[in-house]
Amino acid sequence: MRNALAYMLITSLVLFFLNIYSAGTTRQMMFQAKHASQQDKLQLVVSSFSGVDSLTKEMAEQVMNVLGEMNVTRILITDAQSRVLYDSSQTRNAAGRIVLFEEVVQALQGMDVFHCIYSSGALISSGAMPVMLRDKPAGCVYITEYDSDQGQIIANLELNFLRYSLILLIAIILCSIVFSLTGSRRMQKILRSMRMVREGEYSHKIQMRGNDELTTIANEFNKLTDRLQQSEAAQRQFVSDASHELKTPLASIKLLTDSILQNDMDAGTMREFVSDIGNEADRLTRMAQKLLRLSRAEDTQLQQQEHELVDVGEKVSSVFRLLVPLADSMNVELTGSLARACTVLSIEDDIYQIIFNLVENGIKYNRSGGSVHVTVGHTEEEVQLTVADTGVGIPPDAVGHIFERFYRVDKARSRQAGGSGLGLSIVHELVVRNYGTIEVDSKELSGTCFTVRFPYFDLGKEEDDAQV
Amino acid sequence: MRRYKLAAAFLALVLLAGCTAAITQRPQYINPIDFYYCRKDAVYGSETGALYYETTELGRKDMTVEEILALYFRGPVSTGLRSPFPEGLACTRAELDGGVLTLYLSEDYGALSGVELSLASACLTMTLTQIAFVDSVCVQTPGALLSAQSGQVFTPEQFVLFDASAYNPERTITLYYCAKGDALLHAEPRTVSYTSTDQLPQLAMQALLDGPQDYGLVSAIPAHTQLIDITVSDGVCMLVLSEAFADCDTSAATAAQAVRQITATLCAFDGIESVHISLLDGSGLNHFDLSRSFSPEDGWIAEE
Repeated sequence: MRNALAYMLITSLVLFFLNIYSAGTTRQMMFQAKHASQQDKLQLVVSSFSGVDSLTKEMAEQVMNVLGEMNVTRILITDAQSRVLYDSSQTRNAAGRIVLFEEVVQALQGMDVFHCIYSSGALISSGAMPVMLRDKPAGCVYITEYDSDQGQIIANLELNFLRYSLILLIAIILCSIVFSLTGSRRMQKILRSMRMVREGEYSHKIQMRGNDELTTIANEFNKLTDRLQQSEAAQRQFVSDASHELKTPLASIKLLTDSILQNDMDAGTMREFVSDIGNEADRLTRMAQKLLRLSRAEDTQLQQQEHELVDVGEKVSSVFRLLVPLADSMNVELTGSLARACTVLSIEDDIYQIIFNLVENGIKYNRSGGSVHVTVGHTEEEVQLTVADTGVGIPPDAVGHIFERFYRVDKARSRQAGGSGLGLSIVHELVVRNYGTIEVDSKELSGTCFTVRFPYFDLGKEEDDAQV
Repeated sequence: MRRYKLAAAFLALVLLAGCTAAITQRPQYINPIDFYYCRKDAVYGSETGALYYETTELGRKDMTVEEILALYFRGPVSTGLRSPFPEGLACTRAELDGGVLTLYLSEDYGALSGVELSLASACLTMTLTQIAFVDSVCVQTPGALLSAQSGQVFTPEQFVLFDASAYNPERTITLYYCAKGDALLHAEPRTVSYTSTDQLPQLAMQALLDGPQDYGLVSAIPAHTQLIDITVSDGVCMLVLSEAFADCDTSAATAAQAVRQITATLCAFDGIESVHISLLDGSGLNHFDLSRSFSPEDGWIAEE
């Protein structure tokens, strides 16, 4: 309603000033026309005295008898001392008297004068012109006109302006009220929905027709609630999955400790059980670390970390140094083709983690005597990292799920390998937050190839551009 | 001897009367007084025309005209006014006789001419006629330089400062009367001033009821008839006249002539095509039917 009032006020002001401007312009046009007309009449009378030696009463009467009334309200002809020689007025005849109207005085001082006003429905104009003899005012001619016809035209025009402005104003007021009420109602609807969603009813959707900003807000709000719903569902799923995953090693630990406590066993067996407890504890620790890492990968605030220049090939070399013992222990060959200067603008730790997880998976899910080959190269646009293994491969129906949290193709093998089902989820999050893409190509029993692409950042070209 | 004594006594009485008259005609002090000057900036349509005044408090109660004039000739205090008088102008003597205040001004006044002289005369007249017993002003300029208006007596009425015709224009209307022994109507032009054209029918009707100014014309409308109301609607002018109008009902011809006068006069105006006449008491005429409206017909008006 406040907006409607402001809109009405602005519109009223605009209409008001338009009216004033229109009225003023109309009057000015009328005044100019009257000025021209009166100047012609004055000039006609003044020129009738050209060539005379002096201005006398008889001469003035003679001239006016010839020219007639000239369709004016009053004509005065005066001498140099402003004494009236001729006056066309019958009821107010001032012949023989001295007139000291401002117009007459100015004319006798040598000026052409015109003055016009619009008053009481009439155009009242007056003008005076000197009669010059030997370059000195010998008298003057004064005309006044009371024009009610022109005045009526002005009055009618102004009345029409006012009438149409009022009609327009009323229409604007009505429209403003209608639009304001409609907009207010729709806004109230949106606010009600927001309160419902705030209370937890994420499934509530705003039904709004139209094509305006409010409809856009409603549609965006619906999308937001969808995302909220999905996010909450994902959180629930995550908590459920994490609880389930954590429950398994905890149950193992409980079972082993119960067994130790409830049974008499030899030292060797006890050591074995304790070792298993340790392994499960390690698995819990790894899972907790990966959960933490995954949480950090999804944290939007942490995503604001400053990106830096990272050489992907160098990171691959670092990962190899760490994983060579694992590869040797599993009899898996680790090779690489690393092009130089494959630089990307990203978070260094993220690139390291991505390469580490992919290579580690390639080693763990490989066969004895197999290999993991890492290739790093770049084009003008992107840096490409491929990790290809000769491992067990991924079934076609599982390819679409491998990046989901806690998803494992072979639970038993994953458990044996110490996996948690979070490694590829972490890889996927890190790739996405570093503006990259990841694809997988796998054949069961033949092997798997992961291809990660990042935007190429050419340091040399940037420096050249900077210098330019 | 006795005759001489009587003559002497008479002469003394005359002298005494003269002195008394002189004493009673001494200008009376007035305070405050409006000093008239000329405007510096043009103001159109003012009732004081090219003049304007500033009200001045005079100092002493016994100030003479010469002292008042000395103060006056110093010029205006207001920055919007200018003095029409030459610098250094002085009044050497002022005499009041029979309401005419004669001022003997210094030679500088004689240098004024044209409209400036008229402005100065007007300012003096408008200012000094405020003083009691002063009805008019006359200026004398002794010496070689004679003002063009020197010796002329001015009253305020001789100066026209405001053009009322600009706001109350005039219109010459035609009134219709009868001539003696003639059944036709004769036109008599009359000039009236008006503020709005809507007033013209009423003004014309009132002028018609005032009677003719031409001695050869008479009116069939009874002399004491008054106009009660007049309205114009849809081309019909509705008149309500006083009961005195019924005095024209002496015969059908007289009543018809009165109605024709009114009809011809009013139907000359734009927007009036017919006239309807009624009396204030609602009565009618015996010899003429007033119930219908009347429009001018051929043959009513004499050709001039």
